[in-house]
Amino acid sequence: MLRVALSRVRHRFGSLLLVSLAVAAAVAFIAASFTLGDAIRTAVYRETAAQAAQVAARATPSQAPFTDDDVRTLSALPGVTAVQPRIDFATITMVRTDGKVVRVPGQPGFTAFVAPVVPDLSDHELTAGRFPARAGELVVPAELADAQRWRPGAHVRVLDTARGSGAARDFTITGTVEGRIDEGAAGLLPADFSALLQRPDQRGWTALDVAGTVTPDAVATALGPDRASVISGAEYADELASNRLGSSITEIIRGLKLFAWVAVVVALAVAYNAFGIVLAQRQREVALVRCVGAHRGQVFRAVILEAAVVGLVAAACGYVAGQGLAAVATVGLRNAGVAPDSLVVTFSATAVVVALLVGVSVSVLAAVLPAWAATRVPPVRALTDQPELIEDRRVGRVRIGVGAALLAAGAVLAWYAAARHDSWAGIGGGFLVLLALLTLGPVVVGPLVGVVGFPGRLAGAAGRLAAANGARHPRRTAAVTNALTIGIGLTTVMLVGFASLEKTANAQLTGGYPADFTLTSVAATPDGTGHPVLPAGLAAALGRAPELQKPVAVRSHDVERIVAPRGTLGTTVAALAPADLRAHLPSKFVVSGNLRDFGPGSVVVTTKAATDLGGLAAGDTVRVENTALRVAAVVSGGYGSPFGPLTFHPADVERWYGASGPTELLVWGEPGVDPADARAAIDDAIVAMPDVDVNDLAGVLATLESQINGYLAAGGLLIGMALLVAVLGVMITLTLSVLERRREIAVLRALGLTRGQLYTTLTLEGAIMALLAAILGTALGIGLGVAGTFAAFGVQDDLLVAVPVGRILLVLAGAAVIGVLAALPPARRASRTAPVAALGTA
Amino acid sequence: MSESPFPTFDRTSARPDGTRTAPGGAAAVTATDLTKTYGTGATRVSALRGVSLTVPDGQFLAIMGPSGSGKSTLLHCLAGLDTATSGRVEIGDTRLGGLSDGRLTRLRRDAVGFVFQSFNLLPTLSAADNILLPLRLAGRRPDTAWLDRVIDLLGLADRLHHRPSQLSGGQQQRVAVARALITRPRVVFADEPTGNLDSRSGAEVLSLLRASVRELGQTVVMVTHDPRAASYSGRVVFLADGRIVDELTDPTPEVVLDRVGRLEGRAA
Repeated sequence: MLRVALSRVRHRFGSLLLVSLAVAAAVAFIAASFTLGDAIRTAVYRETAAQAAQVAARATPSQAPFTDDDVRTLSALPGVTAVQPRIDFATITMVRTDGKVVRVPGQPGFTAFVAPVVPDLSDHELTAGRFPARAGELVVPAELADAQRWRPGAHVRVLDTARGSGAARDFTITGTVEGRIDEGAAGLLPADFSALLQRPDQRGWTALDVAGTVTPDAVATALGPDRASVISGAEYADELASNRLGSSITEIIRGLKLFAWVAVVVALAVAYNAFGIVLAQRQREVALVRCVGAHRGQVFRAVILEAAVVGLVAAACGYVAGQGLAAVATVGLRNAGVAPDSLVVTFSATAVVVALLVGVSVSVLAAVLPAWAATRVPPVRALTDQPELIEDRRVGRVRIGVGAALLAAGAVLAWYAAARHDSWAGIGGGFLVLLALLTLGPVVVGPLVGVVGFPGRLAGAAGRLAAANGARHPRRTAAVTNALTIGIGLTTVMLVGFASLEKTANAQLTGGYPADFTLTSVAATPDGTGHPVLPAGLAAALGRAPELQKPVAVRSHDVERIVAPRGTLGTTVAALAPADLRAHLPSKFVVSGNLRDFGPGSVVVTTKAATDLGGLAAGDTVRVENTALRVAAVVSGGYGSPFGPLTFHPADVERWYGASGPTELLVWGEPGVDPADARAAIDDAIVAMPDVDVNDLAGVLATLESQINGYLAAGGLLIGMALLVAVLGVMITLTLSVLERRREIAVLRALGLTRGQLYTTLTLEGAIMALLAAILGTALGIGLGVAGTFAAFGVQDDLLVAVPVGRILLVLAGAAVIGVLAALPPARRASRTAPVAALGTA
Repeated sequence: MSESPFPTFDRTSARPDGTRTAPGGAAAVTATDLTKTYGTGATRVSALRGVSLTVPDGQFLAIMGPSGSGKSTLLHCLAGLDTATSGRVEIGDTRLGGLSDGRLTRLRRDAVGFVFQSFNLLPTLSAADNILLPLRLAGRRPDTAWLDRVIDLLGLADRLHHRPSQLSGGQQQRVAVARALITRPRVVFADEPTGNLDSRSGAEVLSLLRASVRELGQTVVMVTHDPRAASYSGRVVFLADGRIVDELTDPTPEVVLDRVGRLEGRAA
């Protein structure tokens, strides 16, 4: 039978094309993800190794940060060539020579890093100029230098935030380094760093890198017992690598791997169905071989062998395609700045082994059940002249039982996942539901085709034929639709997930920042806590700008005790004029009470705060600082609301805590003004006020939208590929099924079915099946999508689920088009066959 | 060859009427009171109603009858492809009734050969591979002398490496006959072997079948509706309405035609 199997593969590869395609696609994804993962890991390790190469030992403090004394102690150790202090976080404000504060849109503030005392110990790569060598010199990221049009030698002033005096020191930019601005906007030498950027009570270093020939133990001893934990350079390299790897790029790789496994499941479904159809066609051959004396086991082994060979060949092609995919992805990731520039696709032995293993396994696994069914072909079939008359066996009870059980289990798991926010349970539930779909397919298909095909009857005899054909062979119809159902189901899950994310984020943002711009102060306050007051005159300056509406002044203050009848709360509250509140809080957010009742002696409470206070309604009384206040209204919102969880009247707050200027200014652009112009007006007003921070709602929304679009694009691309495989699957399976019905079609043509009617019948069949798949997939996708969204993101409060009906309808329409298009080639072929030819014996 | 539990042609001996017997004495095929019914109640169809038949070794038997007479059903039951509702079938000493699928398969491999009307060959294998298929399935190596003799007899020497699509109908049937003969089975069952052939190729195949009986001692049971094809055989049984109604030895086409006419006259 070995010879038989191999000869079949050689000569009949076309009929196994579908299987090969599906397996190759799945293997391509798997190979790509493994190769990419390996390449990234290699690149990161290579880079971090280079960086850590010069470090002999790295000390991190156990208790208090390291001091300059520690630095001197270590420098004096024999074998130490340099000691580099490191700091985790310090803010820096830079002012240009023309007096404007250096700002980057979308970036509230800058952080600084410690420039290397010797170039070898730098954790940023130099791109131009040189590192600072003496006081008054610094380096900046190339991106910032380009934006500000600085070249080495340019001047900039750094604000002395250590003493908060507002004084600034002159600096020369000696060079530029690689790296993102948000990872460090300026590098100063240690002395300048502590002097300017660290408050006296905050001074200290979070790590010390020691270069030279000293051992980690020596460093630990020198620093004193229990003061530090010291690791070697190699260990540091590992730490750096795993930090770098634990970033967004790992997420991308993980996503790709997850998707690769989904592709495997799709391939399994498609291959299983394809094998089923091919073996059904080969019944006479199998019967003949059984007549000639082949055992059932021999038949089974031959089919499995065929599957293995096909899988192997497909896996090889898939691996090559996967390498191509990885190469393309590498270029994309490099250009997006997400991956190190040294990322390059290398040969990964793991990828080859995994690819071949997956390819052969998927193919063989998919062939097992159809192969077993083939062995049950009775030899007498070889003598039957008309195999097409053999009707599809009725769907068994076992299948219904198993399918129902899988569906129930999957649904329960999905519900559990949603309730407990367990992503893995959600994925497990999804798989079970998919399996249930594959199992129950034939059961559900019959009645559903009747429903979906009903309008087809309007298309006359051809339509009636089409509607009847789909229901006649539930197994074959289910085979055609399964892959497409999975593809569309995935697409819908993705659409639902992202629509929900979008809606939630929008709601959060607009709930949190109803104003176009929110200005706050980031100055240091005398007591180190509390809410810094904005500079005097800012409100007036903003009010004068024609592009802006008069700003709303808000004063935030911490209140220790708010006493309500059924609860107490201590939180930050806001105070603003009732007229402003009424003007900018939309009435639809008022849950109870009336904003007109808000005045001195009353308070407006958000729903969250009301709940935390034991349940408050309009008319209740709360006590603050010995004053009884009436709840004028309850509005929806929470602790993120810019009007505070509780809004008081400024007069009351003044009475309790003294007079003060506003801590926030809420600014709206005048209607019809371009957001960019409004922003420019604000920037003008605060040009000499470095402590003022601007939160730009439109900017943040735009960033979020582009992020979501980015994810959508990536996800869409991957799902598009799965859909492509599914579509090809539909096309090839339809072709096979039309071939199977050659004689039947010939009889119809001989009886008077015109070419046009035949075309209509077949394309309608394709459309009906595709629509069926789409409806099933959409229903599944919505259910799983909602459950999945809760599972993955439900930990966030206020998660809103959105079902993008418009987009989903588009997908449904697309599916119908796909069905029609996929049916065209086989329809064309069938209509071209002369009736006589198909009636002739084989 | 030693794995086959059935005797080879060397051990047969001649009978007065030209057929050969096996030393054990059991006939090649013995059927006792076979009945076969399909369906139940109102849709009940009796294809065979008590057919008894003995086919001695070395006989070329033709089973004839009008359509619906049950001749194909009889062949299926004799060959073990279908199970009779009641009655016994034995091939040599082996009773078919209680055999498991594994033993039935071995029987088909070693003791039975098949030639069908059409679709005899695996389309992806060459003629040589098709001929050797039963041996390969059994894991046996071909006896080259025997193989050469069969190929010679059937005139296939220059067609061995062609695939079925490259052979004419007659050539395909000759390859099928060669495959049926290669394992030296106890009996070869042929179901309308010339049904799809033109008269010249058909005559060729039939004379080759007859040659295998006369020169190689093969036993052949053939179902046909063609009186001319039946005339190649040594004995003809006539089936009508599921019963054997007539028998003929050393038939000529005219006598066969005459008997068939009588059958149909009786039916009418």
